[in-house]
Parts: sequence; C-alpha cells; structure tokens
Amino acid sequence: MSGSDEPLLEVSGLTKHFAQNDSLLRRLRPDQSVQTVQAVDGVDLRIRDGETVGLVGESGCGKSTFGRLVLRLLDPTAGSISYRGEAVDEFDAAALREYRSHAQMIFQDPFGSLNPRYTVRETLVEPMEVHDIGASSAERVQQSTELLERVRLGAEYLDRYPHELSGGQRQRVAIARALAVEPEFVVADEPTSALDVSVQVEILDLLGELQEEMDLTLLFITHDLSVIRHVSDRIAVMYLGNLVEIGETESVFTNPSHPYTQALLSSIPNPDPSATPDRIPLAGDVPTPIDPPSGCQFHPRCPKIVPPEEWDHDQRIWRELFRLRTRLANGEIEPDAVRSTLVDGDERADDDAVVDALYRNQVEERVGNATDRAVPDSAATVAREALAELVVGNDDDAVARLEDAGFVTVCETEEPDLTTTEHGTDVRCHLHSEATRDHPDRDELRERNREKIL
Amino acid sequence: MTRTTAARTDEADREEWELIARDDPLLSVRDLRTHFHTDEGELRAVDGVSFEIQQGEVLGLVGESGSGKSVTSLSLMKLIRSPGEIVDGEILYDGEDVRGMTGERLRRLRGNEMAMTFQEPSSALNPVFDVGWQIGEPLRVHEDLKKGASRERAVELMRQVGIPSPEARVDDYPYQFSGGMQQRAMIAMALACEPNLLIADEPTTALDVTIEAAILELIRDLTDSLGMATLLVTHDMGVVAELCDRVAVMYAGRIVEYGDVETVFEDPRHPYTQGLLGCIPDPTASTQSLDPIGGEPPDPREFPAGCHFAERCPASVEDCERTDPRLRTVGDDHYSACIWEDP
Repeated sequence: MSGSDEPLLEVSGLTKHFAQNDSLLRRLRPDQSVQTVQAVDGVDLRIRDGETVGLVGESGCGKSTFGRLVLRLLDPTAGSISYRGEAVDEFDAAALREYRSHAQMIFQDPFGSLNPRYTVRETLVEPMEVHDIGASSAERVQQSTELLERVRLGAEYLDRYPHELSGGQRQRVAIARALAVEPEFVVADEPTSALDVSVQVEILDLLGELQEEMDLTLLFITHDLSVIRHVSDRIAVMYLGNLVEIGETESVFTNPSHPYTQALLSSIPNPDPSATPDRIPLAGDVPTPIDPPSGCQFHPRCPKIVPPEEWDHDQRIWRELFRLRTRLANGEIEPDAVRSTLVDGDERADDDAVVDALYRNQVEERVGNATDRAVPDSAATVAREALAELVVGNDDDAVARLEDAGFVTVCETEEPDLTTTEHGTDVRCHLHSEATRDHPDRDELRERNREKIL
Repeated sequence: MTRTTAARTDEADREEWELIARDDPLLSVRDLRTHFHTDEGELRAVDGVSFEIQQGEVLGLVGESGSGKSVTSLSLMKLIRSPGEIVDGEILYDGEDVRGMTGERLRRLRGNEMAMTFQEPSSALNPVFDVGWQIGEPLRVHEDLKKGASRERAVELMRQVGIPSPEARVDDYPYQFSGGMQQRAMIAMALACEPNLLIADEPTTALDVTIEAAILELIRDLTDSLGMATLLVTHDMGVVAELCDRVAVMYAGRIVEYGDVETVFEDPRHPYTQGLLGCIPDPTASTQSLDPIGGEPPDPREFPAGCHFAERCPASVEDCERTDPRLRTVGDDHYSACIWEDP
C-alpha cells in the first residue's frame, strides 16, 4: 500500500495551545492568570502517499485537535505542516481553499455533521460548487449519483434528508461529501465510534475499498485499538499531546515498546471469554493538559518508571515510594483524617501512631499489592521520616526527605527523545533512550533496570 | 392486550420460560413485554423476553442500539413511564411479583434490594450536591442513617470502589471527578444498601479503555465478594466475554440466544450472534476478514410476523417468515431461538 518515499504530509514540532477562561478582564487583573491547555505539544509525523496512518489515544490526548490542525481547521500555535512540500501553515485564504480540495475530513458524529436542512443532493453538490468541479449543475448531480453508488447507496437517496437516514447511511453520505472534491488525503476522525458494531464493519470495509479505488491517503483517528489494527499500515500512539510510539501496525501490536502502549494494548477487552487477561494496570487518571507532568509525561502513571542507578532492590518498591513522594507533593495525604479515624476507633492517636497508620496504608499495603518482597529497612526509615514531617505539618520537608534519599528519576527531569527500537518502531521512553544508551555505565544500568522490571 | 403476532401464544410463552428455568433464581423474568404507545402506533421495544439470574452470577444482556436492552433493565425496577407500559409478563424478584409492587414495597425494592447504575455518570450524578452526600443518600432514605453516619459510610464505600484518598474527596462535587471516578462514585451509591441485584447499564461505554478495564475488574470483585447478582447491559461483546458468566443476546425486542458465556462465544448457534461475533475486530489477530451482517433491524412498530431476524438472515428459508421461533435447547445451558438447531 505504501507509495514513494517522499512524504505526502510532513508535520514537525506541531503545537496547539488553547487559552482557558480567557477574557480581557482576566488579562488585566494581576491576581488572575490565563491558563493554557497544551492540547498538542510538538508532534512530528510523516505520512507517505497512499498509506493509512492510525492515530490512537485516549480521550483528551489531543488526537482530534491534531487532525484539525493538519487540515488547518485550527491554526497551530507553533510548528510546521507541509503538504507535498508546500507550507500549509503559511497558506492564505485562496491557497487554503485550494488545499481543501486535496484534503478533506470525515467527522465522528454523522448526526451532527450533516446539515439537517439539506437534502443529500444539496449536501453533495455544495462542495463541488465551491471548488468548481463539474461544468453544469446537471453534471454535478450526475457526479453525486456516482458518488452515492460508490458509497453503496443508490440515486434514490438524492432527495432524502438526514433525518430519514440511519446512522450508517448518514456516515456514508458524509464520506461521499468528503470524496466529492476528489481529495488525495482524508482525515477520518472516529468515523465509526457512533455506530453499532455491525454497521462499523461496513463503514470500515467501505473506507478500505475507496482507498484502493481512489488511491487515498488516510489519517484514521480513533480510540479503538481493535479497529486500528484492522485498518492501518502504521500507527501512532498519542499521550497528552505527544506521540509516544510510532511504527508499522504489526510491529507495534506484537512488540509494543512504550509502557503506555503496552498498558493500552493489554486493556482491550478480548472477545474470547476463555482467554485469561494479562492486564497492566495504570495508576491514576490521565493528568490534565493544563499543567502536564515534567519530563516524560507518562511518568506519574508508568509501571516501568526508571529508578536511579543507586537503587539495588526491586523496581516496584522504588516505584511505590516514588509515588508516595508524588502524593505528598500534591497534598493528597491527609494525616488529620487518619487521626480522626483512629480517635473514632478508640485507638492511640499520637503522632507516632498516625505515622504508623500512614505507613501501613500509604506504603506497606501498596508495596504488598505490587510485589511480595519487603521494603528494605533503609527505605522504610526514610518513608517513616518523611511521613513524620508531614504529620507535624512540614509538607515541603517531607517531600525533600524522599528527594534527598534518591527518590528522583530521569523520567521526571528529562524529556525522552524519539529512539528507534530493534523492532523498527520509534518510541519516546527513557528505557530506550539514546542518552541512556550513550553512557557506557548507563548501559549496564539499563540492563539492570530491565531485569528488575521483567 | 391483543397480540399482533398470532404465532406467539401463551402456551408457547410458558414452554419457553419453563425451558430456561433453573433452581432458585434471584430474579426471573417471564415473557416481559414493554411497549410504547406512540402516535405512529404501538412500539414494541421489549417483545417477549425471558431470562433468569442467580445469586453471585453476572448475566450480560447484549445487543445493538434499539434492541430493547435498556428498556428491559428499566422495566425490572418498574421505571417505565408513559407513553411506555409493561403490557404483559412477569418479573419475579425472589419469588415476589415486581409488577404488582406499589408504594412502600416498591420503594424498598429500588435502591435497597435492586440498584442501578446509569450509562452517563456525568449526567446521572446531581451537580449541586457533593459526592459524599449522594453516596450516602440511599442510606439516609432506606436505613435511616443520620447525616454524619451516612458520610462515614460514604467514605468507606468510596474506598471499597477504589477512589483514592476518600476522606479528602468525599466533599468534592461531581465536576471535580474524572469520568472513571464518577462511574466509581455511582457504583458506590448503588452498593450503599448492599443490594442483592446490581443492574449496570453500559457502565464503561463513556470511558477510556484503560479505565474500562479497572471498572470491569471492580464489578467482578464486588460481585464475588458481596455475593450479589449483576445484570450487565452492554453493546460490547468484548466486555461480555471479559466479565460475564452467562449471556443473553437481544435482537429487535427478543432474546435470540441465551446461555453460558463460553459456550455461546465458542459455538454461537443463532445466525445473529454468529454475525455479531463475525464483525468484531479481534485485537489479537493480525489478519482477519470481517463480514458485515447487512441490512437494518426491523421497525419496532412493524415487526414481522415470523422471526425478527429473517430479513437479514443468511440461513433464512420461507418458513422463517411464518414461524415465530422460540428459545430451544441446543446444548448444555445453551438456548437459541432459530428454526435451525445448527445453521
């Protein structure tokens, strides 16, 4: 399916920040600040002629924003988009109109994306009129009929309104509308997620057939990993506005290299009840893109976070203590609540007892859930000291105590580079990072970390 | 009520539910019919559905949109409002007729003995009350707990469903919770009075896949540890395979296949189930040909006289348009409503 090596679309450093709650008043008031949502944050991607690239990620990761940026439905904050060597980000209105006859979009919701007052005929003829396709209106209607046949609907649908069509039929009309201008490149944003499974297959098949017939290049955006495996040549996995892994679909599915991709793939419900799921659970929720985590943005949830060289024990123990540090820093642990529980239970409730209780449910229990090895004494002492600082109200000292004792990681301080793995996929993770690889002693460390993790 | 399908008789209804009956069901639904009286005619959303749930078991009610699965689950708690009406059938909760319940008895059933979680947690939770208040509400209503006590129980429940730092979050409002946490809060609310039956309507549909996995595991754990029964309403066969012990496949207001989940998935007998399973992309397969079913479900105002699936069925013969197939045994704990035993 892949064409020449020259990319059809090349995106580099593409960034889109949205201002939240922006208003003049807010900008003028010194006590208020305008927060920015970093929806897309420096994405590089090349799409070759004739291929289907699947962009996958969870809700809020910025995948739809990315789709809109490449079509210039949104203007990027930074970065460049080049289509057949032309800078899309610098297009003026006329060039943009011309661009839109090459690049089109199919939206998620076929109920919202068709004009309810237009018949199918009007819906299909309008883009042709805008882009001067067809010499007369009779010719355009003729072309519309052909388009309808192409999407497996007949000429009898020309005079229907969207409300007379089922979900699957509407999505076919939406596809026909995108194809009306004979585009080379189509962005399909969740084209099947509003549809039932039996209808979904029909639409996926249709897109596949059309791609071959019309030689289309597709950017297929979805949250559904089973669908993406079915349709894509390559996939790109997005997390918090950044691509974390890019590669041939089969390589990514058989050898996922980024811990996020691994967790994502392990979470797909398998339609085989006899299969035993081997889940990689992720801690917490997706952080907000308003204030994304430093370094590798996945590090607060990452099960494979890299401990520093000096740590000689189980990575899982280190990970739980690191997370304790994060919770302390976020003020998530409330000693007062624990104290009042102890008081209610008629138990000893002095500072030592509170530290004990906190240690039990914040460290011991969590480590116990992760591994059957015990917390090494030195680490246990540090954790208790930190909790003791918290109990007497020195929150910052509590965090500092853990930081000083080595509960810091490269994952939070440095942003990993994109590295090519042995499976030919590109991945953004310190476990595979060049920087880690260059240092000879780091190399050994990496092996050791791997052993600890596996 | 006059039946438009002459082929379905009371005699056949009885045979069907006697066939699938098991010992000691917690809930048994017999030939349930819920219709909506609309201007354009009688809409037969649920058109003769029979199934049973036992203590400690998860039954999956699976079907595509419009198949009647949500209306079925609402009917179980008598939550159907005009123009809808349960026109026929029996719902037996622990041997007691739910359709006949009114007033105080019905109130005790809802929330106390049976509890339900809804599809969109963001719209099912009340935005103007904090989460702790809402989780504690069933306890104040059903168990007469005072404000403070209900809040304490709410914290415990929040811990049970895996909401981190519940002491700190009990005073939060729903908007401060993420989708997964809202779903957990709703499950906590449903579990407050330790119901015997949990009805979970599309509990993971609005959630991301990593969060979905955690919620499914939670429901499984709670069903096992509390010994309750769960009716899981979903459109996702993957979720059914993951979580359920038994499954009922719904199509156009009827159950077309019913039985043990492994048996049904391994050896589906009804052409609709076969079609449905045949068009799910398998995340573990590198190459796979998916076959669409083709066609559209019938209009619930004008169901055909015979099999509802006949029009789209690859195995249909002339007879299918006349006979109205009922569930029949096709294997050990495996029932299919098709004139063919093994099409």
